[in-house]
Amino acid sequence: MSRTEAFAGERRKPWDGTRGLEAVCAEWRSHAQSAREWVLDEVLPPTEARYAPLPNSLPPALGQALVQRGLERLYIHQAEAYRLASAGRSVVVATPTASGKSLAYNLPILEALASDASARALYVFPTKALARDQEEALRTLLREAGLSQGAVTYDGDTPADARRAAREASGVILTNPDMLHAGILPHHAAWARFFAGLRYVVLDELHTYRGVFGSHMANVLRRLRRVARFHGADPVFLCASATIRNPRAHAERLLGVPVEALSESGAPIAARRVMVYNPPVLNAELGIRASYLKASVRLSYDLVRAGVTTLVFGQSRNGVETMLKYLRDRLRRDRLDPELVFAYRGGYLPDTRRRIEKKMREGEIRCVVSTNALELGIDIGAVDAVLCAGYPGTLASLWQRFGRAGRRNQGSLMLLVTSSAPMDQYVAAQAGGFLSGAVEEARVDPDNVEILLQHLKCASFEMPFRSGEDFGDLPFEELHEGLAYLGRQGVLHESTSAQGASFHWIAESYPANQVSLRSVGLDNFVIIDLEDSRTLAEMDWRSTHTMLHEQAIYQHDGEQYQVERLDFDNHKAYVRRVEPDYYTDAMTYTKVGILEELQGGELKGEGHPLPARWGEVEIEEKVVGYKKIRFHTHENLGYGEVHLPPMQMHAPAFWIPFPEELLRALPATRSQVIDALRGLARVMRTVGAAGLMMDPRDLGYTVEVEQAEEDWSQSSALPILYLFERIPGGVGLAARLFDQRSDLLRRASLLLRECACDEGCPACTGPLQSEGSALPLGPAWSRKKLALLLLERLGLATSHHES
Amino acid sequence: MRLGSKIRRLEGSGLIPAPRSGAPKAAEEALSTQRAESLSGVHSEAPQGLVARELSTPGSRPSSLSEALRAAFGSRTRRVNTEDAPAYTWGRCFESPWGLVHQHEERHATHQVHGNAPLQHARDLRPESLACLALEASLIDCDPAEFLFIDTETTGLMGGSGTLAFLVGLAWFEGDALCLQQLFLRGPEHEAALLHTLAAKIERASCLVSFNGKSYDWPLLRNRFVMQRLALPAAKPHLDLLHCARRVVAQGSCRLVELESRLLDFERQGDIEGALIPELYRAYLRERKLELLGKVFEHNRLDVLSMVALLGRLSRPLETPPQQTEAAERLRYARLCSRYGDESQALDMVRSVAVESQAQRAQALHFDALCLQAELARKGGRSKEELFYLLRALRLAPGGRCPELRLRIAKLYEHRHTDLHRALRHARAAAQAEEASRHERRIARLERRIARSTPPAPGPRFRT
Repeated sequence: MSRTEAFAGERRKPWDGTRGLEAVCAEWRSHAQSAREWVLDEVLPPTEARYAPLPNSLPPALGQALVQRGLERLYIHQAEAYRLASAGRSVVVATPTASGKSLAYNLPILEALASDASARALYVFPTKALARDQEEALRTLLREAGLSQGAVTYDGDTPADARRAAREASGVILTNPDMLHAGILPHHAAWARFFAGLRYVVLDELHTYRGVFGSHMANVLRRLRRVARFHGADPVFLCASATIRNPRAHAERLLGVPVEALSESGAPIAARRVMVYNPPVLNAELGIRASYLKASVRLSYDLVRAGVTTLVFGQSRNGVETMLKYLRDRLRRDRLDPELVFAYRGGYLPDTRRRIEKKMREGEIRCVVSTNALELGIDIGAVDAVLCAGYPGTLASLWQRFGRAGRRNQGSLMLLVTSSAPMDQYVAAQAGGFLSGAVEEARVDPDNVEILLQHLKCASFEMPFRSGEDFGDLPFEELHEGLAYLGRQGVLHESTSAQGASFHWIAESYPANQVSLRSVGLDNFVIIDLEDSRTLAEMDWRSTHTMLHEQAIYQHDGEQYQVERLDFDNHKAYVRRVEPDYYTDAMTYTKVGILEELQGGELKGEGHPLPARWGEVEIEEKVVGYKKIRFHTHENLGYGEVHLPPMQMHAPAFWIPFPEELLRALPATRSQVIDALRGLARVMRTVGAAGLMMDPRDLGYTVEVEQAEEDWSQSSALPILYLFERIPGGVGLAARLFDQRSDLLRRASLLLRECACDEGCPACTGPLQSEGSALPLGPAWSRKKLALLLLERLGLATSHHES
Repeated sequence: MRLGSKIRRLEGSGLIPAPRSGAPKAAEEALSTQRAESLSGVHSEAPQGLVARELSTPGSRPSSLSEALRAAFGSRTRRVNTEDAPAYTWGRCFESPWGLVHQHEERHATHQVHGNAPLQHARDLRPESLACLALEASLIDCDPAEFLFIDTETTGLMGGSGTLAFLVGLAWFEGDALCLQQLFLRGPEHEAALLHTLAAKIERASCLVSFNGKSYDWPLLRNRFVMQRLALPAAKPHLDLLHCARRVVAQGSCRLVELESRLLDFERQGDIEGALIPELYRAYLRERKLELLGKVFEHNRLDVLSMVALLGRLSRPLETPPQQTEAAERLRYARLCSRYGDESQALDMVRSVAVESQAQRAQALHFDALCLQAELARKGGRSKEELFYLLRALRLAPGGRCPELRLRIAKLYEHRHTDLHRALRHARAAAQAEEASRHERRIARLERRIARSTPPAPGPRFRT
């Protein structure tokens, strides 16, 4: 979509002149001593636009409105989306940022509204802010197309009288998942007219619906389709997703219907220069590099001084604030306006965003620093350069951020500055490989038991289940077990009539209020400051036993607090400000037991074959105590006791039972080998989580041994390496790890090799002192070297860079 | 996918709630039956061979309503030998094309009283009184003899598509009798039958009367029609007695039971608490014992009768000569009439209170009446009258009310009667009635105006 941009004042083209992008890059590369730090410097050639004519079936008024905006043709993916949607097929458009995805889903809907006064559409955005942003754009479009149906955002902030008007009269409703789940679906009887006319449902930013949130959303969508069917509708789903590896499979798993995926973009892209800067190593033993934040500041500053509009992404709020401060200090030092740099924080209203955009266009702001708040579709215009300070965790995220760079017909810069975190180093090691590398997959498991049961409660509240009825793609035979369970709990009542059996909700509670779409298991814990009874933060329940046990030192915003009391039953932790000279580190004892093996196979490298399995396991994590570790020197100051019940769950896992002969053949004692396996498991967890777009904390690792024996003769129990999903019921990751097991070990090997440390470090195999064990290390072999040797024997160690 | 085996595994490990298996499970069910029976006031002895279990109260503080109930009611209960006990009957059940209809009917003579209010007062009231009470002019066309009183008991208070109305209490007049009918939902599968019966009743009514029904009962019933895919009955006027009561009742709770006690002099004995009703219905669905709901039926029945009586009682002051209504109440009704637009009735009422209270030297009441008279005068644009009443009220005013009266008087003197000196005198004493800066501005303005209007002392007179 073109923009009618008013370029006030003189605009310099970045590619020429003594100032400008080209000059800055040349300057950077001209320093010989930093040559090795530039791990990648490539130009991606431009791509031409590919057009298709405006469809004939577009209402004339709408066609004219588009022409007036300068759109006489559509991109091929927009035209194809329109064609498929009009034919009643659900679509996911998975093209890069700024390729006109909104128009792809808006056009079929405008056509439907123009031809049928009773047609309705529902737009779902992951956040309220996005919904409100799109509301304006949509209203403008409706007006220009001469349509009288309104578009209203229906969320927690919508006032009561506006709600009734929205339900009864509005042609388009914009909302978010939480409102759909708790505010709309349970009251669907009051929305009868809307659902009866529902032709289209738009799901934007589909890739954000993954993991736990995605599994919940899949069930909300099952309920939505069920409610629509009750009122006589079967809407077509129009989805937009960032580039991920499996857009079609992901969409089909979420929606339970066949979906067409459009990944080829017809939008033109100008030439782009991709660079990766890896700060130099300062301490090889600990694997520490020069500060990536400082490097990012230095490089951004060079861009700002050269007049290049830059967008800088930081990994955390703290990182953003730090970079902002350093940049402004430099500007002041050079007697330039510190307001040239602006920090973008979440929660800005559309007005504020327009102002920022305007200032950027006019040169009043040259640089915006942000966390991932801007990663979602919120628009502040395009920039000349994007700098990512730290790798965002997935290639999909990286490309989405990079996608902001590039105005029409002007070259742009995409620059990644890697930190010393293992994933960052892994990407740096691949250098150009990642450019052609596959982006990550998004996974969900709509049939996660605990999540499913929650939504069965909500669904039966919405309308009774009838015998033989399926729930999305879950057949009644399975569904019935869940309904029977809820009957045993006393919240469902089964009755039989002439039409057969039915299951009615009879409890007095309102089930949607008890379901959080972002967690499974227990609710978050609240951390309360005892000084002023203020709530400091919330924490996921799975981290509470290691982070919030009594006497733990909890860090928040750079300050330390000590946990005085943990009220487990009420989900509250009470803390007090302290200024200790140490921090605490919980010692966790993890136990995994196999419940059911679902699939088995082998890992085939060029060497020794390795068995591999996946299935359901029972996990128990118990904090047995904690260490007090002095800041800076890291000396151990002592231990403390922790008395907490263990954290238990059933979840899927991927495991490798190592063959005896392989391990015995290694030149090390049994305990050293097991220690190396633990290190390897940790590396595997890091690369495994990255490949599946997950938070590493959602994937646990352990090596189970029967006894910690010193030598092989005394024990025949083989160690088993587990990678388990640390989410009750899992979200479909273990199966995927199993499918890609060989690749997993190859990538682990690559990360291990490329880590700058000698013996192993927190970035790869873990701190030198083993966690949770007091095994001494022998002098000859380090954990890292032993792990690499094992991988070599398996024929999985790589000696060259591979993607 | 083996959802069943996963669920059983999770139950086995205690990771999701599970009903306890084996003998303890039987105890838990007996527990809930006993609890339900205790709540419903039904006591019975164990038939031979079944040992009544004693419930142990846990030492810790109960963390839920159920546990609190268990603790409160857990006691050894005797079970009546079922051979001797008469079977509990209530209403009759018959088949309809859409399922079972279970209904209970009663007739009451209209001269019968509920508390102190005869039921017929509701039937005999004039539509004009009704319109005034509800502040709804269109009700003038409604015949109270064709009213349908309606009250529901439901499975939950949060609304939404999953809440059922399991008991609908109805009442209407038929000549010299008040018919009371209760429709009971024997199970969710029979809802269509209940709704058909209800729809027929609504069809014939001239107006629906409820207590908080506009916000709660009616939207819920509308939802039920949608959920059963039945055509909604045609829209009818709706009189919500809660809204009416709030306008005319003195300070205090407007819960139906409270109003019944205060206005109708009716005290319920052993009434069930609303919060427990949904649980009793659940117990009924499990046990299929109608007697568990005995108290609920009674509660609903009283609610319906109460509404009929309440309508009569609330319209009484509009139906009878003013003197028959207690003075303070009369003032509230006067205000209501004024809001409705019936100025003459409002004036009659308030004048009668003023006269009486003056005669009885009931100072506070007289003061209130005068204030209302002033208000009505202002509304009618009669500022001289308003001033008259305000001045008289001032003489009776308690200290705290003087400033506001004086302010009002000052404004009238200044703007309507151009008596600036009096205006200033009253304004000076009204400092507390408004914000400091505004007060100063007022005084300053009055002084200025007075200074301008006074002829200059020596010097030629100018023609003004």
